[in-house]
Amino acid sequence: MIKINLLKSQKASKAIASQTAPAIEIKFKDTFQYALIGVFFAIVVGGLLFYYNDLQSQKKKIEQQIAELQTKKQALQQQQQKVLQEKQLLEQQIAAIKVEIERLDTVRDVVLGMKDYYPRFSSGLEFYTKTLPSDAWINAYRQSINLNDASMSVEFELNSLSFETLSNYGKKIEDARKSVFMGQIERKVNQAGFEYFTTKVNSQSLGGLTNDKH
Amino acid sequence: MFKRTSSPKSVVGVHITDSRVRIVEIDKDKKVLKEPVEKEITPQTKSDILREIVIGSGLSGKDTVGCLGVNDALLKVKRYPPTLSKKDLQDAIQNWVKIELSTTKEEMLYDVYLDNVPKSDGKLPAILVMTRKTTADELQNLLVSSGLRLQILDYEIVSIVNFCLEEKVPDPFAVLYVDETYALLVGYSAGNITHYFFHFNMQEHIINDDIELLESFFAEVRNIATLNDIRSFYLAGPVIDYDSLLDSFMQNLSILGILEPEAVPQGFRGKMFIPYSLCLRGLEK
Repeated sequence: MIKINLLKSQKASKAIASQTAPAIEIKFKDTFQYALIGVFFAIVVGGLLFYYNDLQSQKKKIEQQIAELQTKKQALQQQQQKVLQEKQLLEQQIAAIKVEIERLDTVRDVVLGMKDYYPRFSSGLEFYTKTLPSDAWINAYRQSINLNDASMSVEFELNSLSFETLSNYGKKIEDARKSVFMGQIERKVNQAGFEYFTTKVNSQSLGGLTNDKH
Repeated sequence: MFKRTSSPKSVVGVHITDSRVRIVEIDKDKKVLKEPVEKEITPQTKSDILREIVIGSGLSGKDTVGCLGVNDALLKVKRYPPTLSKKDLQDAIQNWVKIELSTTKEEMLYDVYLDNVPKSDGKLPAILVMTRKTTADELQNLLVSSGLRLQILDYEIVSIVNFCLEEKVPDPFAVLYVDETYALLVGYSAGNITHYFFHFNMQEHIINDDIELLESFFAEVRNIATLNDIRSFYLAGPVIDYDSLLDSFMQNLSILGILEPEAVPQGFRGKMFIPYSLCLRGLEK
């Protein structure tokens, strides 16, 4: 059957496609489905926009937190740097103190080690000064001790107005200590015109001061 | 989705010519509910007479199918290959309608029917009917003011073809429809529709017993049939209600058969040919 209905086209805007009944049904269904799809997509797009905004706000918060944490990190790094510098300073001080302690320990050992040598060392000066004649005098006395081998050396310049005094003193101390050697007696005149005699006395003992005869 | 698929309880078919108004009402089983009505009218009296019929037959407010006369509308057919996509087909039809409408200056009403079944030539026929809006409004106002509820406005030629399609007349076919004051030769072949209008006044022949008028008409019909390669055709219309005249037609023309709605009471089957066909159209909303 040919389905013609001229009343259908009274609405000028009606599309040609809607002129047949099946087409109208299909179009209406399509329109309804499109409307449903449109609503669905509108909801989806709206949801995505909402989700996007939510993510954006979360992103901003996280960025702010990151910025705050970066600031804190920088502050902590500065503090760490400062503490490290203080630590290095303290370590340097500790090292210096340790060096000082070691040095003091060494000095203490030396001092303690040398303590045994003091009486013998002092007895050397005492020996030469007590036996010194009254008309002789010592000029430029030097006494030293070698801590490695405990050897002691004495060197002094002996002056006197009397040749014999010096000669006798020399014999006396050479007899008393074998390690003592007195040099040649020389005659000298000072600036005021006085005549006097001078000689040099050396003593080199190898840890054997105790063996010397007083 | 919300389309009403059920048929109406009854449908009224109204056929108005320049000399007659004919009304028939059938139910959804295609049975005639009341005795059909035919009354003679003039342009001045048709409104009043139609109103009287509607009121007298209790047809007020009933779904009605009307039709425009053969000279009140244009019918065109175009054939499209079925390989076209739905959208391309719609675009092609739309362009065709635009071109056809552009040839008129007046505001037009139109409708296009696309037959979705390919015909013997493998093509889909699209049938365009268009009319002046003033003409359609005039008929619509006439029917509505008479109390009828016009649902469908069909075309006289289409209603003739529709009856044959409903009766499953083999394709191709031709119908000679003879009314009181005019006659039509309608041809249908593979979806294509042709028609020819004859100024044959049957009433004048009956009143005056003018044999020459009748023979002249026969000759004209034969010529047109020959020109259009129509070898035989069916006879329909009020002419079949006139027995003596029917014999003349059967003897002088190559009539293949008579088309008449069997559901319509005897004596009205010729007159109610188009109103009944319009009712069938109304059942196929």
